[in-house]
Amino acid sequence: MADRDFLIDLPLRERWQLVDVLRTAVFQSLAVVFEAETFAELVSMVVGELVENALKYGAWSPDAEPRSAEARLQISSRPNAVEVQVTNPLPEGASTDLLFSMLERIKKAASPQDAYVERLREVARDPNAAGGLGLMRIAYEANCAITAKVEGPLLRVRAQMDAPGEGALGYTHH
Amino acid sequence: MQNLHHEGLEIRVDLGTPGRIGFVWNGRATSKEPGKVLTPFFDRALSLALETGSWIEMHFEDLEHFNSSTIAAVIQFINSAHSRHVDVVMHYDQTQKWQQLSFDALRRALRPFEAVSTSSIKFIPVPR
Repeated sequence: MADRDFLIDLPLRERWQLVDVLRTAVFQSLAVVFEAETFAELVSMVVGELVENALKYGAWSPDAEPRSAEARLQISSRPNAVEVQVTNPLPEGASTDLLFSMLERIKKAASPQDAYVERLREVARDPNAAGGLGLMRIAYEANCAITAKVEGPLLRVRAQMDAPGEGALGYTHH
Repeated sequence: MQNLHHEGLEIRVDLGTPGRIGFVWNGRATSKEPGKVLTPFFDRALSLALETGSWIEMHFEDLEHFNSSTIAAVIQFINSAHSRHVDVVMHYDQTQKWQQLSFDALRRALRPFEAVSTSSIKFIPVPR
């Protein structure tokens, strides 16, 4: 997909309203690259969920170390795929147990839909169990392979999804 | 009940049909904590449904996007409706891939809840 190579690399700021702006911008950009609105919509949904998580659980105080300048959204082409990477500073002593347990559950489930459906049931029964639903959702709806890595004070979450084939571009109009 | 406006989301209340409380979702549901606004709104809807013996009908066809926090609020509402024996009907646009995927999963997730309730939940894919 040589003619579809691209890189979007943006700093993140702690402003919730920016999530929707980013999501919309990514949708429009990728709809141009892939001429496939359905795929652009899925990628933009992935961006929205991952950036929301970064804003909810990241360290955004101006005094935090490392500075929130380390926070970035990167979306790039890979061979026959697209990768979304969100990096954010973690609060000191923050636990990432929930994140890694959700990724483990996705891996062990018979399918991403099974993992998501099970989490939806937990959330229906317990309003405090809402954490991790976004990760399960992107694994299912966008069929993403998700990995996460703690690198010192930074958390890096990557989601990779197959790009539509050259001959199978499903251009849809709303 | 009044229409709900919250950030980019509008939920229009339709009380025009006796025995039915309609909610038409429009715009984008992207709030950080949608439950703070949606839970009391849905609680009022459930109280009204019980007072008037109505069912609740939700229309998502014109909704552009909802985040997972909003999905959590929706499924908690449905669970509440079940426990209070209020019937719920959800309409969605099956031609939009994201809606089809989201509501397929919601439907599957709610099957065990339906089995233990006297109320019903229906998902109606709308062809457009």
